[in-house]
Amino acid sequence: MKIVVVNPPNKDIRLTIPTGLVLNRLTAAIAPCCLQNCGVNITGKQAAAFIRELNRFRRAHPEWVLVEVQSADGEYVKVKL
Amino acid sequence: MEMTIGKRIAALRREKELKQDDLAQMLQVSPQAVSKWENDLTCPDIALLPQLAKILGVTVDELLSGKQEQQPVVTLVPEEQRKDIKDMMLRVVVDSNDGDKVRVNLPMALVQVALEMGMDMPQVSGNSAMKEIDWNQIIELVRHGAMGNLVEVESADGDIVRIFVE
Repeated sequence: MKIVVVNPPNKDIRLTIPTGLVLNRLTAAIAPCCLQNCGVNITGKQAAAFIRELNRFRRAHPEWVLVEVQSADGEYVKVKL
Repeated sequence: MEMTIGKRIAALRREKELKQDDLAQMLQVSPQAVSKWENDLTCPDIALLPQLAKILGVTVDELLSGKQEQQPVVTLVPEEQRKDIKDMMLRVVVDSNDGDKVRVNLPMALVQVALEMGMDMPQVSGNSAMKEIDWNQIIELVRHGAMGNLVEVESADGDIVRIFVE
């Protein structure tokens, strides 16, 4: 997972996090509890299916950019899985 | 604040994950020249524009004006030519009146799984029109072969939300 934050005139931030560290069985097990606070009720099995699908797509499309935000001031944020 | 040609070149170059040196080498100019373009101190030579636009993956018109070419209207793909829904991408494009741009690219399969779980789609903007979008209908349209610009909403504030599938 790559996170790029460009906020001129400050220095650019480029974070590379192993995606496996973020999307794994452990996070799938924790996700239902955390999401419950946001009003989303899913089971551990559903979270695992969601993460599995995310990983499948990520491997099939390595250049996939999940989110890209560009403000009028020139700030730029990109999340690539 | 309006986006200048320099800022557009810089943004598009970053999108392509190119360094100023890489772009300079491709165009056979000095890295300082690229830096000057991006800082709006000078403009690229007119003869370089087609090649520059090609490298950055836009048309010359898009590069100069910043206006994106209209996405094709909805097309109905015959069953034999349809891609698997698992390989389709749902793109949510939000262009706010202030000049902010949000692009979210979601795999259709993921959207489908999320909806089956009963999850709400993320509110990409504060635009109330987004809340009214029936995502199940969008998936149904895609299943029947509809591709392209499926939803376009313009709020009273001038924000434009577009959803297209490719």
